[in-house]
Amino acid sequence: MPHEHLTIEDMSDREFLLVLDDHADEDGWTDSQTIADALDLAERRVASSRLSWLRRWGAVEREVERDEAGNIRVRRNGQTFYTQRWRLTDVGAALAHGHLLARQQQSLERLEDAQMLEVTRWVTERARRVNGTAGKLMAREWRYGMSTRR
Amino acid sequence: MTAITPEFNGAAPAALDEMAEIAAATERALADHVENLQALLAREVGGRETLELAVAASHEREKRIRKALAALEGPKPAPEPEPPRRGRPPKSEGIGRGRDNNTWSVSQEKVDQVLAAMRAHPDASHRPRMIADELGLSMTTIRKALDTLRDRELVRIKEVHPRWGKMYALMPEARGDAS
Repeated sequence: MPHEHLTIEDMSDREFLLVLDDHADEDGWTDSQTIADALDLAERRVASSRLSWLRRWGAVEREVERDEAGNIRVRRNGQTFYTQRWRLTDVGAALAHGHLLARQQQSLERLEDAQMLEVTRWVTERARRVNGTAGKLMAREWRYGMSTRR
Repeated sequence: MTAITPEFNGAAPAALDEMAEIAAATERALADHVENLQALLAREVGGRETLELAVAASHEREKRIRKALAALEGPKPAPEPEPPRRGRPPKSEGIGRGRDNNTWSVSQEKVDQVLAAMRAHPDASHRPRMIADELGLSMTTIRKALDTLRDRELVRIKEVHPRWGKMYALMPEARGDAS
Protein backbone atom coordinates (compact mmCIF):
# COMPACT_ATOMS: atom_id res chain seq x y z
CA MET A 1 0.00 0.00 0.00
CA PRO A 2 1.52 3.36 -0.98
CA HIS A 3 2.83 5.33 1.96
CA GLU A 4 1.14 8.54 2.89
CA HIS A 5 3.92 10.17 4.83
CA LEU A 6 7.70 10.09 5.16
CA THR A 7 8.94 11.23 8.55
CA ILE A 8 12.53 11.56 9.71
CA GLU A 9 11.95 8.35 11.68
CA ASP A 10 11.01 6.53 8.46
CA MET A 11 14.03 7.64 6.46
CA SER A 12 17.02 9.79 7.33
CA ASP A 13 17.82 12.93 5.35
CA ARG A 14 21.01 11.30 4.14
CA GLU A 15 19.12 8.27 2.76
CA PHE A 16 16.61 10.59 1.10
CA LEU A 17 19.36 12.70 -0.49
CA LEU A 18 20.99 9.53 -1.83
CA VAL A 19 17.67 8.41 -3.37
CA LEU A 20 17.46 11.80 -5.10
CA ASP A 21 21.02 11.31 -6.33
CA ASP A 22 20.23 7.77 -7.54
CA HIS A 23 17.70 9.13 -10.04
CA ALA A 24 19.49 12.31 -11.09
CA ASP A 25 19.95 13.09 -14.79
CA GLU A 26 23.28 14.19 -16.24
CA ASP A 27 22.73 17.69 -14.86
CA GLY A 28 21.86 16.37 -11.40
CA TRP A 29 18.12 17.09 -11.58
CA THR A 30 15.46 14.66 -10.34
CA ASP A 31 11.69 14.99 -10.63
CA SER A 32 9.88 14.72 -7.29
CA GLN A 33 7.40 12.25 -8.84
CA THR A 34 10.32 9.94 -9.64
CA ILE A 35 11.32 9.98 -5.97
CA ALA A 36 7.70 9.38 -4.93
CA ASP A 37 7.51 6.39 -7.30
CA ALA A 38 10.85 4.99 -6.10
CA LEU A 39 9.73 5.10 -2.48
CA ASP A 40 6.14 3.96 -3.19
CA LEU A 41 4.73 7.19 -1.79
CA ALA A 42 1.03 7.85 -2.23
CA GLU A 43 1.50 11.28 -3.79
CA ARG A 44 4.21 13.51 -5.22
CA ARG A 45 3.63 16.02 -2.44
CA VAL A 46 4.94 13.57 0.19
CA ALA A 47 8.34 13.75 -1.50
CA SER A 48 7.95 17.47 -2.25
CA SER A 49 7.29 18.21 1.40
CA ARG A 50 10.64 16.71 2.46
CA LEU A 51 12.39 18.38 -0.46
CA SER A 52 10.96 21.76 0.55
CA TRP A 53 12.39 21.40 4.03
CA LEU A 54 15.75 20.27 2.70
CA ARG A 55 15.77 23.27 0.39
CA ARG A 56 15.08 25.55 3.34
CA TRP A 57 18.16 24.13 5.04
CA GLY A 58 20.27 24.45 1.90
CA ALA A 59 20.79 20.78 1.06
CA VAL A 60 18.86 20.84 -2.24
CA GLU A 61 17.87 23.45 -4.81
CA ARG A 62 14.80 23.66 -7.06
CA GLU A 63 14.92 24.27 -10.79
CA VAL A 64 13.51 27.58 -12.02
CA GLU A 65 11.26 27.65 -15.06
CA ARG A 66 12.60 29.47 -18.11
CA ASP A 67 10.98 30.73 -21.28
CA GLU A 68 12.20 30.00 -24.83
CA ALA A 69 14.72 32.81 -24.57
CA GLY A 70 16.17 31.33 -21.38
CA ASN A 71 14.80 34.04 -19.11
CA ILE A 72 13.44 33.01 -15.72
CA ARG A 73 9.64 33.06 -15.71
CA VAL A 74 8.18 35.32 -13.05
CA ARG A 75 4.62 35.89 -11.92
CA ARG A 76 3.08 39.36 -11.86
CA ASN A 77 3.65 39.54 -8.13
CA GLY A 78 7.34 38.90 -8.62
CA GLN A 79 7.35 35.26 -7.51
CA THR A 80 9.43 32.89 -9.59
CA PHE A 81 7.98 29.91 -11.45
CA TYR A 82 9.61 26.62 -10.48
CA THR A 83 9.55 23.17 -12.05
CA GLN A 84 9.15 19.92 -10.12
CA ARG A 85 12.84 19.09 -10.43
CA TRP A 86 15.37 19.21 -7.62
CA ARG A 87 19.06 18.56 -7.19
CA LEU A 88 21.69 18.35 -4.45
CA THR A 89 23.62 21.47 -3.56
CA ASP A 90 27.34 21.16 -2.86
CA VAL A 91 26.57 20.97 0.86
CA GLY A 92 23.84 18.40 0.24
CA ALA A 93 26.19 16.26 -1.85
CA ALA A 94 28.88 16.41 0.82
CA LEU A 95 26.37 15.38 3.48
CA ALA A 96 25.01 12.55 1.32
CA HIS A 97 28.36 11.12 0.26
CA GLY A 98 30.65 12.16 3.07
CA HIS A 99 32.03 9.47 5.34
CA LEU A 100 34.53 8.82 8.07
CA LEU A 101 37.89 7.33 7.26
CA ALA A 102 38.50 3.84 8.61
CA ARG A 103 40.96 5.10 11.23
CA GLN A 104 38.49 7.79 12.33
CA GLN A 105 35.80 5.17 12.84
CA GLN A 106 38.20 2.92 14.73
CA SER A 107 39.14 5.80 17.06
CA LEU A 108 35.48 6.40 17.84
CA GLU A 109 34.85 2.68 18.39
CA ARG A 110 37.59 2.58 21.06
CA LEU A 111 35.98 5.32 23.18
CA GLU A 112 34.40 4.25 26.45
CA ASP A 113 30.83 5.17 27.37
CA ALA A 114 31.90 8.00 29.70
CA GLN A 115 34.10 9.45 26.96
CA MET A 116 31.20 9.24 24.52
CA LEU A 117 29.26 11.64 26.75
CA GLU A 118 32.04 14.18 26.30
CA VAL A 119 32.07 13.53 22.56
CA THR A 120 28.31 14.12 22.50
CA ARG A 121 28.80 17.48 24.20
CA TRP A 122 31.45 18.37 21.65
CA VAL A 123 29.19 17.30 18.76
CA THR A 124 26.25 19.39 19.99
CA GLU A 125 28.49 22.41 20.48
CA ARG A 126 29.89 21.93 16.99
CA ALA A 127 26.36 21.58 15.58
CA ARG A 128 25.54 24.99 17.02
CA ARG A 129 28.62 26.55 15.48
CA VAL A 130 28.55 25.07 11.99
CA ASN A 131 26.60 26.68 9.14
CA GLY A 132 22.81 26.43 9.13
CA THR A 133 22.49 23.51 6.73
CA ALA A 134 24.96 21.17 8.39
CA GLY A 135 23.80 22.09 11.89
CA LYS A 136 20.16 21.49 11.11
CA LEU A 137 20.85 18.18 9.40
CA MET A 138 23.06 17.09 12.30
CA ALA A 139 20.15 17.68 14.67
CA ARG A 140 17.82 15.71 12.41
CA GLU A 141 20.36 12.88 12.10
CA TRP A 142 20.40 12.67 15.90
CA ARG A 143 16.62 12.52 16.00
CA TYR A 144 16.59 9.80 13.31
CA GLY A 145 19.23 7.76 15.10
CA MET A 146 17.52 7.98 18.47
CA SER A 147 14.00 7.25 17.23
CA THR A 148 12.35 4.26 18.89
CA ARG A 149 10.21 3.33 15.94
CA ARG A 150 11.49 -0.18 15.46
CA MET B 1 -25.60 60.90 8.40
CA THR B 2 -27.74 63.28 10.32
CA ALA B 3 -28.39 66.43 8.35
CA ILE B 4 -26.75 69.42 9.91
CA THR B 5 -28.98 72.43 9.35
CA PRO B 6 -28.48 76.06 10.32
CA GLU B 7 -31.20 75.55 12.98
CA PHE B 8 -29.02 73.04 14.85
CA ASN B 9 -25.59 74.59 15.14
CA GLY B 10 -25.27 77.25 12.44
CA ALA B 11 -22.67 75.40 10.24
CA ALA B 12 -22.03 77.28 6.99
CA PRO B 13 -23.72 75.72 3.91
CA ALA B 14 -20.41 75.60 1.91
CA ALA B 15 -18.71 73.42 4.55
CA LEU B 16 -21.70 71.11 4.62
CA ASP B 17 -21.52 70.72 0.86
CA GLU B 18 -17.84 69.86 1.09
CA MET B 19 -18.46 67.27 3.76
CA ALA B 20 -21.27 65.76 1.73
CA GLU B 21 -19.00 65.60 -1.33
CA ILE B 22 -16.27 63.85 0.68
CA ALA B 23 -18.78 61.35 2.03
CA ALA B 24 -20.11 60.66 -1.46
CA ALA B 25 -16.59 60.25 -2.88
CA THR B 26 -15.71 57.84 -0.07
CA GLU B 27 -18.83 55.81 -0.72
CA ARG B 28 -18.05 55.70 -4.43
CA ALA B 29 -14.47 54.54 -3.73
CA LEU B 30 -15.73 51.85 -1.36
CA ALA B 31 -18.29 50.73 -3.90
CA ASP B 32 -15.52 50.46 -6.50
CA HIS B 33 -13.43 48.34 -4.14
CA VAL B 34 -16.38 46.11 -3.36
CA GLU B 35 -17.10 45.69 -7.06
CA ASN B 36 -13.45 44.80 -7.76
CA LEU B 37 -13.37 42.29 -4.92
CA GLN B 38 -16.60 40.73 -6.10
CA ALA B 39 -15.15 40.38 -9.59
CA LEU B 40 -11.99 38.78 -8.13
CA LEU B 41 -14.11 36.43 -6.06
CA ALA B 42 -16.16 35.40 -9.08
CA ARG B 43 -12.95 34.79 -11.05
CA GLU B 44 -11.48 32.73 -8.21
CA VAL B 45 -14.56 30.57 -7.77
CA GLY B 46 -14.95 30.13 -11.51
CA GLY B 47 -11.27 29.31 -11.88
CA ARG B 48 -11.45 26.74 -9.12
CA GLU B 49 -14.47 25.08 -10.67
CA THR B 50 -12.58 24.83 -13.95
CA LEU B 51 -9.64 23.23 -12.14
CA GLU B 52 -11.93 20.81 -10.32
CA LEU B 53 -13.42 19.73 -13.64
CA ALA B 54 -9.91 19.26 -15.03
CA VAL B 55 -8.91 17.16 -11.98
CA ALA B 56 -12.02 14.99 -12.37
CA ALA B 57 -11.28 14.51 -16.06
CA SER B 58 -7.68 13.59 -15.23
CA HIS B 59 -8.89 10.94 -12.75
CA GLU B 60 -11.15 9.48 -15.43
CA ARG B 61 -8.27 9.35 -17.90
CA GLU B 62 -6.07 7.71 -15.29
CA LYS B 63 -8.74 5.02 -14.70
CA ARG B 64 -8.98 4.30 -18.41
CA ILE B 65 -5.20 4.09 -18.79
CA ARG B 66 -4.91 1.73 -15.81
CA LYS B 67 -7.63 -0.51 -17.27
CA ALA B 68 -5.81 -0.61 -20.59
CA LEU B 69 -2.53 -1.46 -18.83
CA ALA B 70 -4.20 -4.21 -16.84
CA ALA B 71 -5.64 -5.66 -20.03
CA LEU B 72 -2.29 -5.56 -21.84
CA GLU B 73 -0.14 -6.85 -18.95
CA GLY B 74 -2.51 -9.69 -18.20
CA PRO B 75 -3.20 -11.18 -14.78
CA LYS B 76 -0.36 -10.70 -12.30
CA PRO B 77 0.97 -13.79 -10.43
CA ALA B 78 -0.04 -14.04 -6.82
CA PRO B 79 2.51 -12.47 -4.44
CA GLU B 80 4.79 -14.78 -2.48
CA PRO B 81 3.32 -15.50 0.94
CA GLU B 82 5.22 -13.87 3.80
CA PRO B 83 5.91 -16.00 6.88
CA PRO B 84 3.25 -15.51 9.59
CA ARG B 85 3.93 -12.48 11.76
CA ARG B 86 4.19 -12.56 15.51
CA GLY B 87 2.78 -9.81 17.66
CA ARG B 88 0.93 -6.75 16.42
CA PRO B 89 0.96 -6.17 12.67
CA PRO B 90 3.01 -3.12 11.65
CA LYS B 91 1.30 0.15 10.70
CA SER B 92 1.19 0.70 6.96
CA GLU B 93 1.06 4.53 6.75
CA GLY B 94 4.79 5.21 6.84
CA ILE B 95 7.87 3.37 5.60
CA GLY B 96 9.16 3.01 9.18
CA ARG B 97 11.63 0.51 10.42
CA GLY B 98 9.02 -2.17 11.06
CA ARG B 99 7.71 -3.23 14.44
CA ASP B 100 8.93 -6.34 16.17
CA ASN B 101 7.83 -7.49 19.58
CA ASN B 102 10.95 -9.60 19.99
CA THR B 103 13.62 -8.02 22.13
CA TRP B 104 16.53 -10.24 21.09
CA SER B 105 19.51 -8.78 19.28
CA VAL B 106 20.90 -10.24 16.11
CA SER B 107 24.46 -11.56 16.43
CA GLN B 108 27.40 -9.72 14.93
CA GLU B 109 28.16 -12.83 12.90
CA LYS B 110 24.80 -12.64 11.15
CA VAL B 111 25.17 -8.90 10.59
CA ASP B 112 28.59 -9.53 8.99
CA GLN B 113 27.10 -12.25 6.78
CA VAL B 114 24.40 -9.93 5.49
CA LEU B 115 26.90 -7.13 4.84
CA ALA B 116 29.20 -9.53 2.98
CA ALA B 117 26.31 -10.78 0.84
CA MET B 118 25.48 -7.20 -0.13
CA ARG B 119 29.14 -6.35 -0.81
CA ALA B 120 29.28 -9.23 -3.28
CA HIS B 121 26.97 -7.09 -5.46
CA PRO B 122 27.82 -3.55 -4.39
CA ASP B 123 25.74 -1.73 -7.03
CA ALA B 124 22.56 -3.79 -6.70
CA SER B 125 19.31 -3.13 -4.89
CA HIS B 126 18.98 -5.95 -2.38
CA ARG B 127 15.72 -7.59 -1.52
CA PRO B 128 15.60 -9.01 2.03
CA ARG B 129 13.92 -12.20 0.80
CA MET B 130 16.75 -12.88 -1.65
CA ILE B 131 19.38 -12.34 1.07
CA ALA B 132 17.47 -14.69 3.39
CA ASP B 133 17.32 -17.40 0.71
CA GLU B 134 21.00 -16.99 -0.16
CA LEU B 135 22.18 -17.20 3.45
CA GLY B 136 19.58 -19.68 4.68
CA LEU B 137 18.46 -17.31 7.44
CA SER B 138 14.98 -16.29 8.55
CA MET B 139 13.38 -13.06 7.37
CA THR B 140 13.26 -11.86 10.98
CA THR B 141 17.01 -12.28 11.32
CA ILE B 142 17.61 -10.54 8.01
CA ARG B 143 15.39 -7.58 8.97
CA LYS B 144 17.14 -7.25 12.33
CA ALA B 145 20.53 -7.37 10.64
CA LEU B 146 19.49 -4.76 8.08
CA ASP B 147 18.11 -2.50 10.83
CA THR B 148 21.44 -2.82 12.65
CA LEU B 149 23.36 -2.00 9.49
CA ARG B 150 21.09 0.98 8.83
CA ASP B 151 21.72 2.24 12.36
CA ARG B 152 25.44 2.06 11.64
CA GLU B 153 24.89 3.85 8.30
CA LEU B 154 26.39 0.98 6.36
CA VAL B 155 23.22 0.30 4.35
CA ARG B 156 20.30 2.45 3.31
CA ILE B 157 16.84 2.10 1.84
CA LYS B 158 17.29 2.57 -1.90
CA GLU B 159 13.69 2.08 -2.97
CA VAL B 160 10.34 0.71 -1.78
CA HIS B 161 8.83 -1.78 -4.21
CA PRO B 162 5.02 -1.97 -4.24
CA ARG B 163 5.17 -5.78 -3.97
CA TRP B 164 8.55 -6.57 -2.42
CA GLY B 165 8.73 -3.72 0.08
CA LYS B 166 12.01 -2.11 1.13
CA MET B 167 15.03 -2.68 -1.07
CA TYR B 168 18.44 -1.93 0.38
CA ALA B 169 21.77 -0.73 -0.96
CA LEU B 170 25.20 -0.15 0.52
CA MET B 171 26.12 3.30 1.73
CA PRO B 172 28.93 4.88 -0.32
CA GLU B 173 31.54 4.25 2.39
CA ALA B 174 30.48 0.61 2.88
CA ARG B 175 31.27 -0.42 -0.67
CA GLY B 176 34.97 -0.68 0.10
CA ASP B 177 36.52 -1.82 3.33
CA ALA B 178 36.00 1.43 5.24
CA SER B 179 34.57 -0.41 8.22
